[in-house]
Amino acid sequence: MALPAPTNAELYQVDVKLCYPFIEAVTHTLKVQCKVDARPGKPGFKRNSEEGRYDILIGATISSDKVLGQVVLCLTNKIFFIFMSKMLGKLITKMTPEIEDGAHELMNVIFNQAKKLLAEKKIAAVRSIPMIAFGEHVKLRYLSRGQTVILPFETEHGAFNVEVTTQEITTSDVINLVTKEV
Amino acid sequence: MFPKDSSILIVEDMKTTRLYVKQSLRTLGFKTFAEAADGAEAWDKINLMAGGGTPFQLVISDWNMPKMTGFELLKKVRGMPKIAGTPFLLLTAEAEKHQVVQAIQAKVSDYLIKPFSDEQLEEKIKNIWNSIQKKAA
Repeated sequence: MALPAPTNAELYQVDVKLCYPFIEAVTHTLKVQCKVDARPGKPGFKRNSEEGRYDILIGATISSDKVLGQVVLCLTNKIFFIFMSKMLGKLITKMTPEIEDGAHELMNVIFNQAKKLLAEKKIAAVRSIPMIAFGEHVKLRYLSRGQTVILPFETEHGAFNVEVTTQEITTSDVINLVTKEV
Repeated sequence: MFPKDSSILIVEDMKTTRLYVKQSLRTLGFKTFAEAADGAEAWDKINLMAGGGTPFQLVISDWNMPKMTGFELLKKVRGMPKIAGTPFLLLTAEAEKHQVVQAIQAKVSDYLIKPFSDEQLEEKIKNIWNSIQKKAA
């Protein structure tokens, strides 16, 4: 049986429902764990991959029965090292395997917070193992059918973004999944 | 409150989180720490210290770890009469909060949900100390 196509309003609602828990999770985690006040700005849609170049990307995949997506914490080196320095109580100026672990853990904590808030909105999200990518001015592009929402944050140390991209699960995704399971 | 020279074992697979906990404990005035990256390593260290007559006075352990989880470690500690009374603080992610009931049944001293601040850690450690004192009275 074909699944009914979601309306634009429903798609928008999915995006909003997914985004607010992450805004809350990011602000709460940074405040408690890094002692940084992050003020969320006005969310907007990412129009192309040229928008936003970052040094450090920490991402996790989310999936539920209705939606697939990626949540990526997008930072400059400067602000990431400030977060880590404040979290660990010592000056961090370069990426090491230990600091990579710290980035993963930060994402884990953020995701777990968001997961709880998503569950309250009846969205059961499962995440993958977080990934981290770093380099100079990394361009972030998603191979997704859905739109990407940029959630901007301001802190006294500078700005950073969280990007959330989602796509609704279609009938063909369900068929592929069932075929694979058989 | 626990004496500041108490020996504390921090069990967590993420090194930065171990550093974070250690940093928080230092802020609270504690100085003596040991670390383990999973429950199995922690179990070896707990036995070694107990065997040497200097058991840890507090174990702070993450729940979700490879090899042996914090919950499994808790059950092992509670199952060995010599060290069964070791104060045990379990760190857990928000998503694992529902599992805390099991930990309470297994006689965890207290639990703390990540992310947590120095103040929240201090409060939990104080609570554990106070409950030990009440039992002893």
